[in-house]
Amino acid sequence: MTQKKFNWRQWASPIRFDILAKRWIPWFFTIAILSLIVGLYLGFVLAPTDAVQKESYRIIFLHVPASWVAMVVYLAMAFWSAVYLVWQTKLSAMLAQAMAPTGALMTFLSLITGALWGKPTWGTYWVWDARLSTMLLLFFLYLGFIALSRSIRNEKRCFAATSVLALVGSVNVPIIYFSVMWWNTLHQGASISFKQGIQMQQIMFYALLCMSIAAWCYSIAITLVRVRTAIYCRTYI
Amino acid sequence: MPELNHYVDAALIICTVCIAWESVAVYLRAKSVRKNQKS
Repeated sequence: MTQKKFNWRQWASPIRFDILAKRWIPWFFTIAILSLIVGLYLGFVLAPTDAVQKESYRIIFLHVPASWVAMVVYLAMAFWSAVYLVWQTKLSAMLAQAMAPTGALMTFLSLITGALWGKPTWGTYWVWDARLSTMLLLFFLYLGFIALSRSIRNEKRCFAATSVLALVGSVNVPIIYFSVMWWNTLHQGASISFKQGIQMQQIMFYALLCMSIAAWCYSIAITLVRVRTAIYCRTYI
Repeated sequence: MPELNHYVDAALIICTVCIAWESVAVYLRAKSVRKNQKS
């Protein structure tokens, strides 16, 4: 009996990927909407008021998922960029480019919601704190990536330049994550960590979990729609 | 239902507007590309 060997490279074909993405998009959007409804209900209706921060703490249900997505999307962009630079698979560069606008939006939302949480909690919208400054730098990296991808007409040169920028910029992500440990910052440390476990009420944790799943599934779905559009543009137009 | 303060209201409104704007923009772009392909 001959065993058929799994060939992962077949998924590097844009046409094959398009078929797969078409099947996945409705699932991701459905999970995103359902998680969002449950997350909003748990976080903004059922979760009790915080003794210190009062109602303002509820902003974390928007701020934390946006921040997680913003950071991990950049790492994913760097990963696909590295894949492009090694194997020259155009689909991976297209994936990296499709992720950038959503990553930029999530970073923007993270900065805005952070500022709106900072005013009632710290007494100011903004401080040049290590976490906030590196997050702002991430936003500029996203904008730079988008600007670069739209300014070079030659596809190969465009993919190569954006891939290098994504790889170089990815150094900033661990700095954002560890900034609260490395420097004495105003920004609080992680509420959920592998070492210390979960330092919040169960209902708050579930609300955060649902909102994070919603943010993740939305980002994946919208990226897939963008990749499909890019594939159509390259193939037919 | 808790009475949310205006900072929470502002955060909810900004997030809703931004996500809705991105979704509509991506949907319209995808639709116009598909339309061009058919014609």
